[in-house]
Amino acid sequence: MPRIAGIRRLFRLRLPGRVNLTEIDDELRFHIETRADELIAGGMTATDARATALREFGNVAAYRDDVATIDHQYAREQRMRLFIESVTDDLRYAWFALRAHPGFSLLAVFTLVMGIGATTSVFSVVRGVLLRPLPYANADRVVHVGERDIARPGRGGNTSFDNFTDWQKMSSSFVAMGLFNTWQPTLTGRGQAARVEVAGVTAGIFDVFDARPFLGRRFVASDNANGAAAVVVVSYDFWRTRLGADSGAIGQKILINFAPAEVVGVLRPDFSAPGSLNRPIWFNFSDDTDGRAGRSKAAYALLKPGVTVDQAQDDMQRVSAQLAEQYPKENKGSTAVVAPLSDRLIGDLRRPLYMMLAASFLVLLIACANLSNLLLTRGVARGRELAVRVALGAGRARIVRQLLTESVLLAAIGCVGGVIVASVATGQLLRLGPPVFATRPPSMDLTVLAGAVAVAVCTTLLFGLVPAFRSAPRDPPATLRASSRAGGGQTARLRTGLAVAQLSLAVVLLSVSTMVISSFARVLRVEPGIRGDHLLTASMNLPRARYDSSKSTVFYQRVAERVRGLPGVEDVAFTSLIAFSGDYDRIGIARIAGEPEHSGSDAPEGDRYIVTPSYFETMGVRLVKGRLFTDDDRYDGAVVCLVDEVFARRTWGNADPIGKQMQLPMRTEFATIVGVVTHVKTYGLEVESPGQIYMSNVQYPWRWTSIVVRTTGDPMAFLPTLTRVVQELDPDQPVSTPATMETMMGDLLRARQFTLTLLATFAGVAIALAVIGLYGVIAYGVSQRRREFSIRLALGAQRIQIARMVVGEGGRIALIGAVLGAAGAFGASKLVSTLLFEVSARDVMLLTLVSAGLVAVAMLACVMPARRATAVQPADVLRGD
Amino acid sequence: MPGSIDLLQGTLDLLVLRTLAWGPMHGYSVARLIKERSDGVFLIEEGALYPALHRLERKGWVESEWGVSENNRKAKFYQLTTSGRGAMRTELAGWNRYIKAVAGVLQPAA
Repeated sequence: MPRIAGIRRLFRLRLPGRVNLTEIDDELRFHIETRADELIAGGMTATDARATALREFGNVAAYRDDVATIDHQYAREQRMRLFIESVTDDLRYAWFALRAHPGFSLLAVFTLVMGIGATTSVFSVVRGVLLRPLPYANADRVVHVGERDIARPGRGGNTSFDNFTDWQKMSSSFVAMGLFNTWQPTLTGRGQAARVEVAGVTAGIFDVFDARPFLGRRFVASDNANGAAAVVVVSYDFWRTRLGADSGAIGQKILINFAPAEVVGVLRPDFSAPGSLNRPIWFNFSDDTDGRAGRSKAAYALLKPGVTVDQAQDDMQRVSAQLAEQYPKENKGSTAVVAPLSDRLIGDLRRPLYMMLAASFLVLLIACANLSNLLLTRGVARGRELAVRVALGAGRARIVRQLLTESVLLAAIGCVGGVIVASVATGQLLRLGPPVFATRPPSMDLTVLAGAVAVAVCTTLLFGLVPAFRSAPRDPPATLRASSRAGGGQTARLRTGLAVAQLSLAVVLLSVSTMVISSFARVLRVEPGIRGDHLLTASMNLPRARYDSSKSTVFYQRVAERVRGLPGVEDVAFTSLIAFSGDYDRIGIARIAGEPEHSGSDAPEGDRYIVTPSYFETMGVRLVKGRLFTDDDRYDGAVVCLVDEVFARRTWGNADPIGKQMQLPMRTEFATIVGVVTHVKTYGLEVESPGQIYMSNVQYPWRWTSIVVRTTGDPMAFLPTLTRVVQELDPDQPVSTPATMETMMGDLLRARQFTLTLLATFAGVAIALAVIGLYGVIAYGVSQRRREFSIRLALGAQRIQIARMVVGEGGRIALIGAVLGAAGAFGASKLVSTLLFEVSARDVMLLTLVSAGLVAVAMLACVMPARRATAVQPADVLRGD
Repeated sequence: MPGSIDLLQGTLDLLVLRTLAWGPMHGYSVARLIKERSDGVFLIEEGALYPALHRLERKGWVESEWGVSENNRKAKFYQLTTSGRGAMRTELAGWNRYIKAVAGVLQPAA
């Protein structure tokens, strides 16, 4: 039957559409009447003949219905078949059309792959990091409650146990509140000694995160009372790997820092808690001795159903105002901040990621403009072909459909390519991205794929619709009469407009990414305050049960002596806190000799570093004034300390800090400042750090410490030697969390670097696309105007004049694009200024440079067409055509 | 014709195809020919022929065209298509196998 259908279509004969019921009636009537006639001829009366014929025929109405039903189905199948045939025809035709112009097709597919690839990969990040629901129970109702200075807006930090206890009593917004702190004690007696991550939690944490035990029990309020026995609830994984998945584990003791703690519960396998609360061991929090000012614990709370975060915020603000009045010494100038869990975990990334998404959509828009331009150009070139098809009987709608089919085919290829590019890119993004990606990786799931397809569909409509309607000839005879050189003026204007739009969008992207890049360069130029290269760090934690103050000091001295003697070691030191590790130990100084007592947020703050004398030399921190620690600073001697320039300036302005005395935690005597050292940007290069206070680890014995080794070779290669030395001195002492200083400093810059890499990539793609677009317009213009150029040349115009015309036209487009883009970039720069470091968003110089650069590149794109224009041989052109 | 329609339908289709193999004709002629050649053994209503014809047309085995009959009336003529001719051969071969098998079983034991 396909042959018949084809012919039918060719001659536009009776199309199978509706079923003709009268035809069926005619057919059946013919049968009955012919039979009746026969019977009458045989001698029957008319009435009898008719009755006999009808009887022989059977139930006419029933057969008529049967036939009608069959014809209905037949007609429907026919319509379907014709439709599918025409679509396949269109696709086949489109495929040939694309194959016939490989240059055009490759360019178009490249453009689409870039556009769809950019949006899809960013969307996979947005989806994975921002949109995926948090995998915690009650995630939408859990909030972080923290404290911050009223004067310094920002996130809430930690709080103290005493404030937390009052919050629980005084607030009215929460079902439950929980508090926790974290530490890394040594676990012994279960295989090799190891540092373990432990959280000390209150019973409320179980309610907030709906942590139900799989075995045993959870913590109850009495576990948090003073003097409560040490008990732990462990994770399912810990129970499986360290407790041998023993159902009799409940009631067993494990040794944490050589002190026994009873296992009372095992959490369910599917349970996980956010951030630093997600630890294998939960210890019962009790016997808090830090006091109301000891803000070293984090608090989470579960909102009552129907209570909003804002309402809870108001509630907590009231509570903290009351507490500030009640306890001005510790709480003056401090307020509580309530933030949704999601803000807490991924809040910092939200703005940069949405900015990336916007940037990728800009790339897509440019890609669409580029394609529209390409298609328009080709549509004009195909004017004759299309006109012939119309003349042969194809309707205008049919031509539009045909052209759209080509766009759909392009979009389909582009979509597949884009998704491939995106899945490759996603792997790279995962590697480049900030640490959050480890737990919330970019995901290429069905939603993302659906997004890619939706983008492709919209793109098709965007880039295909206008050119399709534009190119379908309205007046075929006229098109046929005119030769191919006649390009519609309106279409030319549209193409120029598209080129301008592309260039201006590219300028926006380029300017923004230039600003981000220069901002990053400025961050990199910031002096960290230490020499970060060739430094290995690792932490150690001497348990109280085995090392008292003097023993720990001796242990460190022995490790230092042994390590220092090894080849490849330049220097070694111990410190309680590693700069750039992301850990802080902020202390406030309440009492300074000769000054009234400071309270609340008025107290000068700094990070406490308890170090060995060699610390400064090892890290590259320089002495500015006074002296460093020496071996003469003994435990029983005069207590001394060092401060950095920032702390000194903040606290005493220009006055000389040497000789000032202040009271530091842990000792009652006032410590005398004997030296000032250079500042270290410990919180990260672009973040303001409060300043450092250095104490000697001889005068302030400290068991939790980190070793810093300056090596001559690769610092990581030294780790096995270091571990061996430590284990020789104490086999139960693990060396944990080894890292190089360079890695740690790099991690702090990762998020920024990620934004930058992506933006720079997008800007590069955008420029490439825009230049291709401009080139297309100019090159096409030249090919259309060969006659004109020939005539000009024949009339005596210089070739250089022709070239100048062509380049001038490109330059005009580029200039308009650059000016419009600069205006757009000015607006966009305000949006991104929050992401920038020490960059004024009105960096006009930069914008000018970027725009000028793009105009220059765009002019380059015109050189080729210009040369082609000047190479015109007037005689050939005018004779031909 | 409840109960026997399925068997009858397949058989009827084959009869119609075989009849049309003689040449293009309208439904009435098909009915006549089947009646004559079967000596009126088949007790089928003539109307049943038309669903069969349209069914065959839907399958693409016959095609139809309006024309003028011997008695000068407007009539719908049916004609086997190429694929219809092929289908008829296949069906016929199947039918013959069927007959042979049935006959083989029914033959009295020698």
